[in-house]
Amino acid sequence: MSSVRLQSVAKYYGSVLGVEDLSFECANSEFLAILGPSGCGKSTTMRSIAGLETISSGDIFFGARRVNDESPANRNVAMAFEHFGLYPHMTVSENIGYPLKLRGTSTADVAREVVSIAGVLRIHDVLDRYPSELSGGFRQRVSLARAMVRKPDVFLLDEPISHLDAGLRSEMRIELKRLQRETGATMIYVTHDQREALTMADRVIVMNGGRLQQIDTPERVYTHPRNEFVATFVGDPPMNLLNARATSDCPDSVQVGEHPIQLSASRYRGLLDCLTANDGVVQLGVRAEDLAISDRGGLPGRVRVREAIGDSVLLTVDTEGGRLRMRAPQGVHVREGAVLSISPDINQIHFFDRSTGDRIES
Amino acid sequence: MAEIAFEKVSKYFQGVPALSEVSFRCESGEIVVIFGPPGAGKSTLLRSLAGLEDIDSGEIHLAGRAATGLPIHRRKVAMAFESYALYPHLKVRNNLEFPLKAPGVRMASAERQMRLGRVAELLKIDSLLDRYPHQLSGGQRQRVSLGRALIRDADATLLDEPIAHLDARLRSMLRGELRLYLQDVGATTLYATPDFQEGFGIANRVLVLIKGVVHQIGTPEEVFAVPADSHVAALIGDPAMNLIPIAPDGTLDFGEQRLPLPVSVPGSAQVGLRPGDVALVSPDAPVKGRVVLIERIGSSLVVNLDVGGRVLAAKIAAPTSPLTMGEVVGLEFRWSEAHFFGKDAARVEPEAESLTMGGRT
Repeated sequence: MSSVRLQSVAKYYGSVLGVEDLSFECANSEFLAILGPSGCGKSTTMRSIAGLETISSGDIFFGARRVNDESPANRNVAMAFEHFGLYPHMTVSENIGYPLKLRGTSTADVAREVVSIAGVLRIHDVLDRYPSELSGGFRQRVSLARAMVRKPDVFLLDEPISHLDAGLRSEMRIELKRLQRETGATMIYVTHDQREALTMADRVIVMNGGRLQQIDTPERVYTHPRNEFVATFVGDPPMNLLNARATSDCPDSVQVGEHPIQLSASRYRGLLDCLTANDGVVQLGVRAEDLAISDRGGLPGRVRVREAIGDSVLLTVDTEGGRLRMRAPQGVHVREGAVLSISPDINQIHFFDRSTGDRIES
Repeated sequence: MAEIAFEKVSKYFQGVPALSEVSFRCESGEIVVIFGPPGAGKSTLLRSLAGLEDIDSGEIHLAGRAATGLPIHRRKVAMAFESYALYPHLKVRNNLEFPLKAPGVRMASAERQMRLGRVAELLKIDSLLDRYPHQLSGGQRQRVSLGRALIRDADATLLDEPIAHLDARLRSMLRGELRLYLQDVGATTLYATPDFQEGFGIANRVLVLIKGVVHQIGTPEEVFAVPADSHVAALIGDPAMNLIPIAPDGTLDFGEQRLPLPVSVPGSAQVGLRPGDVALVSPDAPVKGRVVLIERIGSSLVVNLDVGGRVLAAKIAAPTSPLTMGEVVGLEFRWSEAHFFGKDAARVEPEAESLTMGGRT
């Protein structure tokens, strides 16, 4: 196993930006997820690590070894894709053993390795079957087993489970996490699905427009998004963003519409520079679960949509500060069209600079 | 009279039933979501109504008339296909307007423009109107296809996973807006999806279809609160209900661990406990589990636990001391909220007295 380090990596396709100014390190035995919308550069990043793309500038290191000029085969990485790519005319066991056979490993050793890896992935019962006889979940495991049997330094997974159905996906999330922990593999996992990234990874890289937006633990990405992009990309529903204005009516507070939001003195001081630079306006971010229906004194609004989704109710509310989405407890008695007043949990609000989109720490 | 009525509709593909005696009604202006896992027969149901599939038995009524046997063009249905099927030589604008210019529609230009504007705004495709389909991304094409189904007047609007290929942000926003639009124009809608949040967010009523069989029909609240059988229970919720078998001796079967059932429900073979009704306690509790995955959903954590080889989910408020992977914790169940299912998977109601004991063990 090996760590992976990218230093100021850029990749252009002609004049088109793939990725730019990309620097990060994935530690040995770390599970690192790269999360972003389509076209954000996450697959380019992965293909560059694998050696399938020649980078335009920068350096890539596996441990202390600079691999820029090494061929994909010499880099000793294993890739698993969403499409399983199994050989249909080979049994499961032959599929898994194939990479070893190519290396000239003895038949007895191949058999031993196949049984061992099949145990880890819990597929020993299907070793004699053909891929066409297996469900999607089993095929995905076989594909992973084939990647793992080579004992790669680095594992690269590109949306490996995004086309499985919901039940299988949740099973595979548990399975992949277990696998990574048991084998200590260094895993880099590319996905557009925040749920996969946030549940499995030790750390998450959020990318957009070919650039790294944030690299942090799943917890921090959710609770301390570094900019508006991360704030609204991570979380379901996306974080609400509202215009808040400085007000002279009460000290240490900002105002959304006519509704004042009282802040601590130190928090307010932290906003001052940004307020001054942006004509007294700052972006206030608050998540759906951090808004509550209040009896009085909140931000008035009218319920546009009520969605009863299992153990909670998602409300879309039009307020003078803009359209908000909030989560209310199951069974809340609010109809569409109802007028109510809502208050944010002021310990859970975020501020962003309106012109740069960057988080304001205070 | 219901706008759409299925009466014992069956459809076979090479002897395999795709729909088995499907009966339901969808009232005028109602949105019924056909919810089920992949392969449940959702698309076949929609296609049967559109006339794209012939049914083998039963009756389909559309707008008060028998539709069975009517050719496609005599059924006034609007359908958004998962495969988009846009006209490649027409701009987005003309693709959208196409159904409004069909012979026999004769819509005034002002009305056409009004509808076009409204649908384009709803689906956020205003800026794409002068492009051709090949200039669009997959998600954009899907929205145009959906727009073409929404723009016209129809006896039935049939939407087959219409927003499945859009990014999460847009999907989350569109659910509610789509329902408002459909309600506003009074469209009688069948909407097929395997996605719990999407289906339950958009539906007036949900029809749960599994392997071609209707398992339950009700409002989203009803289906969630009182699932008709364990197959339905296993599909709904985020995550879905935990189902635990009852051993022949009447204890809860967690592999090597057994737990006496505090509630006796004659005829029950499985207990259903929602993740929110499973609490984590100190590891000296009678039932223990090992943490295998921790997932954050909003302000709660969903903790997946390996309990004697079975994975159970617990949904808890974020704890003050963080949980770690591999940690062993005790489990407690809120029995007053338990659901019971018989050998045939059907729901079994506990007797009145046993309910009152409620509480936790």
